[in-house]
Amino acid sequence: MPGYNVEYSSAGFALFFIGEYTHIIFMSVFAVILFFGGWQPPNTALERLLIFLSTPSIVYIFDFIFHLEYYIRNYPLIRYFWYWLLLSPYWSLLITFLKIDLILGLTDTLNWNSEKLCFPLMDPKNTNSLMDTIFSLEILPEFVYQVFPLLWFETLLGVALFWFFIFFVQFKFYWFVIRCLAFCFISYILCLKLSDVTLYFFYTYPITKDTYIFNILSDIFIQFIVFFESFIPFLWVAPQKFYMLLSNISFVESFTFINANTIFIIKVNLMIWLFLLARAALPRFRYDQLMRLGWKVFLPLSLFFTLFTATLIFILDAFPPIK
Amino acid sequence: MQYPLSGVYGILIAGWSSNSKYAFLGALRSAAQMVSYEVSIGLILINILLMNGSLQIKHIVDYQEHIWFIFPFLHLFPLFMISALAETNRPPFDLPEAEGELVARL
Repeated sequence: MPGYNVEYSSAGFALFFIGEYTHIIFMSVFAVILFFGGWQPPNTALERLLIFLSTPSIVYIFDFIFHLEYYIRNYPLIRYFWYWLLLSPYWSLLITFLKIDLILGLTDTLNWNSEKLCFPLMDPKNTNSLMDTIFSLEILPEFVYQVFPLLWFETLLGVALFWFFIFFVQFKFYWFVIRCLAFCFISYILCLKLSDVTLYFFYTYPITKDTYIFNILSDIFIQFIVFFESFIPFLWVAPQKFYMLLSNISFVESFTFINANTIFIIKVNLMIWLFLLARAALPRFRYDQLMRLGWKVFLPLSLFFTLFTATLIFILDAFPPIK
Repeated sequence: MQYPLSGVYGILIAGWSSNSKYAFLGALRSAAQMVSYEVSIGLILINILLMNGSLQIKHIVDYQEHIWFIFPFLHLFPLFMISALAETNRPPFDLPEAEGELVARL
């Protein structure tokens, strides 16, 4: 995808980027619906274990420990250790609490019945169409909200549009105005620093000394306003809600208490992580290898498995009911 | 399934409209790759159809109330995931646009 910037201008390039990540999100949603039960909560112990191990907090904690160990070992080689130390706990731990707090806050704001475990638009019994529409709009930014810390500044352009829906749905009007003003301020800083925009989030890149402090300050500003709910003291709200959840049921069971949207988003988040891990871990194949894999391995295999499934259903006489 | 197909058109138009032969060749390779792996995704989808008798999203999800399809179809999930990687032209399947190795310039 980076090669697009050779042939296209900034706007066209941004559209390709948004298209690529939309495609990733779509394929992740597709995989979750086909294989991971969609918005169904984890009912069996195995499913709960799978969800528990793949929640963002667990992933971020492992990520944090890994990076901490790496940076301590390479301390003499890292120029901006303290800068990293300042930001990485936030990326690793606090953002998870914020995301859960945001989702719970949305459910409170719209008086959503959290025991209702069905995707709003898909539920035929649901008659409250206005709330469904709002929630459907809310789903879009939620996806991007989950993707954002993973893809860093790459999705910033695409995210900006979706933030509007988050603010509009979640908060009262005056908070919305304050946040819009804050965003104008941040946009101003972004325009000022457009030349070294990559330094915003890839803080391990070499930074010149004169822009170093300004980078830290503007970075913290952006992250506070975008993720820390700016002036709202969410830090004591989130533990309180967690306590309310934990006082009644166990931690693993609390996942069934959270509504279907949350479950769906957590699963999609896991799938997006798989995409990113594959990018980080695997080398490229040759083109002829790709084609051979597609036509001579995957096609016969999937055809065989299809026949196998059909045969199994025929032998067991377990045809699904016609709906 | 129509969504990935629209991606093929997008790639082709992007390569063609860049007015570069290299980009157009890269676009053709990307399109060929996407079409190749859509076949296996379609066949995997037929497995799901055979299992629950419907391709409606709500029916597929409702059917997984007691057990997710990842467990009975554990052999199909890796196939699907790899095909999805190829479908999205993400690494390690981004060879047509591997900017460091080719002059595809797409």
